[in-house]
Amino acid sequence: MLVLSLALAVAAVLLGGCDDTVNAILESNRNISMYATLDMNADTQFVRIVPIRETIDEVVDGSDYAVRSIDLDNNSIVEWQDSLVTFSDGSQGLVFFAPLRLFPQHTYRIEASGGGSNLVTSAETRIPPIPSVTIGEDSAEKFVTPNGFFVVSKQAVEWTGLEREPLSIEQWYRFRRTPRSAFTDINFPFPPDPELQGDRIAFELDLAADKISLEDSVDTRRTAFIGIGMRITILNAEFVPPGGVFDSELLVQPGTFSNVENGFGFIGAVGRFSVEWVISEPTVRTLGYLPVSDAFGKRPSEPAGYGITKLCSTVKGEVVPDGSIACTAQ
Amino acid sequence: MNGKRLVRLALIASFSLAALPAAAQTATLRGLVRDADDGLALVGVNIALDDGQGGLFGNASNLDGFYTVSRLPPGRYFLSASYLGYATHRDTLDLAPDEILTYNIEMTTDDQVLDEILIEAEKETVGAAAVSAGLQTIRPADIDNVPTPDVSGDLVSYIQTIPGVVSSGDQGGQLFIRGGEPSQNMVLLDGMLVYQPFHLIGFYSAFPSDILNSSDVYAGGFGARFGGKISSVIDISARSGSKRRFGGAVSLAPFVSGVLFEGPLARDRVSVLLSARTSVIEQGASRLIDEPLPYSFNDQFGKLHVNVSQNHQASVTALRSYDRGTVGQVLADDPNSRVDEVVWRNEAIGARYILLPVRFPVAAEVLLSRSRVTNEFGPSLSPSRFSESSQFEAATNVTHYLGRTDVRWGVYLRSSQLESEFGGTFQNLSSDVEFVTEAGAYLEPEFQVDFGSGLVVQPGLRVQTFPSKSRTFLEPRFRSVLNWGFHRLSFAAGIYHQEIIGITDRRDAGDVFTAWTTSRFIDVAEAVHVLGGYQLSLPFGLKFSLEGYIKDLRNLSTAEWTAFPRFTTRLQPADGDVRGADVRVELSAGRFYGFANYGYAEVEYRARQASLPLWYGVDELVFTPPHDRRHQANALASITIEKFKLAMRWQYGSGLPFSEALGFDEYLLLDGPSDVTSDPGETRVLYGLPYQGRLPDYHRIDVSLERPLNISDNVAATVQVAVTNAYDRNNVFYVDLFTLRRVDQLPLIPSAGIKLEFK
Repeated sequence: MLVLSLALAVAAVLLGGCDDTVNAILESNRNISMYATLDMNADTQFVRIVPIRETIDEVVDGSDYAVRSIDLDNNSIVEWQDSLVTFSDGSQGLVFFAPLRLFPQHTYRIEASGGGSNLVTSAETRIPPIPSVTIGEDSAEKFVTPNGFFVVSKQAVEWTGLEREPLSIEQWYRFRRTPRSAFTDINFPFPPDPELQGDRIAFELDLAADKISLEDSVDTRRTAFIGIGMRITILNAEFVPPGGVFDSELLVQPGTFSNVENGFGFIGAVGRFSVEWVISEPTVRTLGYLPVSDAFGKRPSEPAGYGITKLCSTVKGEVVPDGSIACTAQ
Repeated sequence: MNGKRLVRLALIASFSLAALPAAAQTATLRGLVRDADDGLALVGVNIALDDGQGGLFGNASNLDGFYTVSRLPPGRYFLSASYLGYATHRDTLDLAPDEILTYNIEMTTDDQVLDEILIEAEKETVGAAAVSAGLQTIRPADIDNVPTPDVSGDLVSYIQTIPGVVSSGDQGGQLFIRGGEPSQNMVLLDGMLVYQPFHLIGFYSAFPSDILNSSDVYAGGFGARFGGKISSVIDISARSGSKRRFGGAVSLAPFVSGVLFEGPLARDRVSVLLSARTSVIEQGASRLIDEPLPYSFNDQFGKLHVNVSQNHQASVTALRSYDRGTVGQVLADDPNSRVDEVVWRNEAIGARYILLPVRFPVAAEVLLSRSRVTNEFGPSLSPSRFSESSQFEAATNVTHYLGRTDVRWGVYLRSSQLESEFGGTFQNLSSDVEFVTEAGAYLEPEFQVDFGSGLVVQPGLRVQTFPSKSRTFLEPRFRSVLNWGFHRLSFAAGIYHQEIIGITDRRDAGDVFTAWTTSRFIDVAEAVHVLGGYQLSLPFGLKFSLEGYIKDLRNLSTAEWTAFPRFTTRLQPADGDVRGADVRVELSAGRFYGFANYGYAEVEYRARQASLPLWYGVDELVFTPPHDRRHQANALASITIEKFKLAMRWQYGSGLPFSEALGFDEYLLLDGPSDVTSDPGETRVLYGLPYQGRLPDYHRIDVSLERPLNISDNVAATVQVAVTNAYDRNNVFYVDLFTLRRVDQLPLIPSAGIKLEFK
């Protein structure tokens, strides 16, 4: 046993012990990481390209990298332009950009290459569809009690055509002090966490309760009430982290949350959809707001679909002088 | 079972056992064996009593020089005390019924054989192949055979020659013993805990051979007397200073220089031994090789020993050590601005009182000790991590001598304070303070049975309770040795628990920062040891031994795996298996001494982490931790010719596991609309599966040549030249986990040193 053991040890030294080289880098066909959230609302898209390097402080020359996008639904190809960005911490990164408006439900393929390799790193991402929204008729009823009165006022909202639950839902009430002053938007915490049922989310706004909550933020007796806005933010279908939580400690593991081929990283897409609408003047009065007509001496026009505006894919709608709300066209 | 109840039970047991010899009408002989020249206690002196009618009784002196032979039929005895290198002491004694006779012995050196035999004497009961159920005893003479770049030896340089002991390398001060982590080793000096005694440079510890009496290294299977750690015990006994003459030593070498002083404060009653060493690496070795070696360390030791009376001894031992350095890469030349500097400090002080009650054949000791360690890591002027552990312990150990049975028992009380600041990297805590109280007791009888040449059976039971945590552990232990002519069979087994654990991010071999905490986030670490061995001792100085072992480890704390290149003490629980076997052969022939050994070991961890199914598609990550050294071999030879002593040591270790990677990138967490033009991201290492790579094999040879010189009657010198890593092997220390850079161990380093001794 001893002889055998010693012989093994000696053999090990003779056979492998002389080699003192270490190669800590594994062979790989991945040489680029790329990150982007393509934005339906933007007219310029950006993608961060991170060449994979063998040492932590290696400075990579980004001049020979190239990025292009292909709209797989119409085969249009866009060559992206490179730029070297200096971040706030002093580090630099390679960011490619291109003027590109994204089409809903189109699939885009982002390809990156370079670093002396013929390998193409790519990712495909599909832009989410534009949802529809239906704003129900507002209602308001005043009840008198021995101690005073209270108001019951509701309005239904329904979003349809959603592929997944929104990342966020925001709501705001808009006011204006004078016809020429800036709007005052009171962002309102969105109370319920509605569940996606099929492709729809439906909920009922409690306008009377909101009015009570708003009293501390705005002088509703002297400031004209313009309307209500709502925005939902939707990530596309690829944007689903394993486990359902965006946990940095979990997702940092290479390949864990990635749709990139021949590389690492993630390419996703986001859409923000806003709608703004007015509510009927009787409801405004019943709720105790100051109507536009009283504040500025004009009656609002009565557009078709008053209270149900067309869908807006923009951050904010525009308000015309008569107080009605329109949308920026898609 | 609370502490008071334990103490009550212990007292009842003590008196019951003490009453036994009185009822039997037998006599007891006991005493202290000392060197007649300097008054130092002698360990392992054989005391034999012959009744002239064929009855032979005996025992050997223990680490304090005490011996006890009990259950002697009353009558006349011919006593002989023998110890190689000393003249045999003979006397005739008459023992009356129920008498407990204290008989102290002073041994005089045998000048005719001293030069050649003294070394032999120290090796009689110990040796590189004299392992017995995981226990190996190390004496200073063994240590001095190991070539080091210093005239004086150091305990750690010998421990590193033991198969199954894996060191972190030339740097780091970490020892892994038979698969266990450094924080799972218990290091005791005169009974007091020393947390982190191994210096940053791997040749040195806080235990130079000059201050040592004896060291017992239990690589596993330790008895019920020890508890609180799950891997190993290094039980060190420091020697006392001479009680009859003053002496001292001064040593100068490129790595470390030191002074030692000893002498009587009251002749034959009180002695003192003081030792201090400091590293001179940056001024010495660093210039020899023209490479930065940013390490500094020092240690101070003191022991005051008092012979209170014929049956009472007291001692106070104190130790302090300090280490500071940058392990691995040096990122800044200015020592005040190093960004990854580690600093640790040990302090330990303990008092020990030994008494031999006049009326009972009992030896008892009372121990009081306080130990403390602090750890810092980060920029030298403002460390980012800090950890401190301190412990106060009061303990009593009692041995009842009942003829061929010794019954040992003890009780103890420990109070620990653990403090740490990690800036949120420890279980998301930024700072933490914990207090832990522990009480316990053990019972460990040792039966000597007439079977073969002698069978020793030592069952034991240890009880540990943590009142504040409502936890109590029962730990059965068993040790047994069978001698049969030239053959010896040994076996040991036991269950062990460890409540206070040290957390080190083992993903990074260069990170030796240890955070001390309790196992409150996971279950208490537990180990089961089973080991068995065979030893053959042939009369012509050849010894051979073979030992196999298994350690089943549960509830270990391993650093959570993450691809972020940063320190983490976020824990994930793991279980582990250690399997191995050692083969040793030792030859002592005249002026030649040598040994060779080979160790095979497998260490496997099975870690659980919530993210594993997602990352790797498995519930458990099975991996070999970075101290899994499969093959290990050591060979040492020393020969003395014309007063020149030439020593050589060759060591070999197969490559250690490390984690390979694809490279580095920046990681951006995309959790919604994001602006990639403003987010720099966080640097990430693109790891492959953890610990799948193996570093190259490690091997090197160290050589030293030394010669003693008599300068005068009172002054002697020893001159040494040495070469470390004589064939300049590029041994890899580790691959930096965060930068993937290779960090090498020390290159060829020539050195010369001198030691002056004053008598």
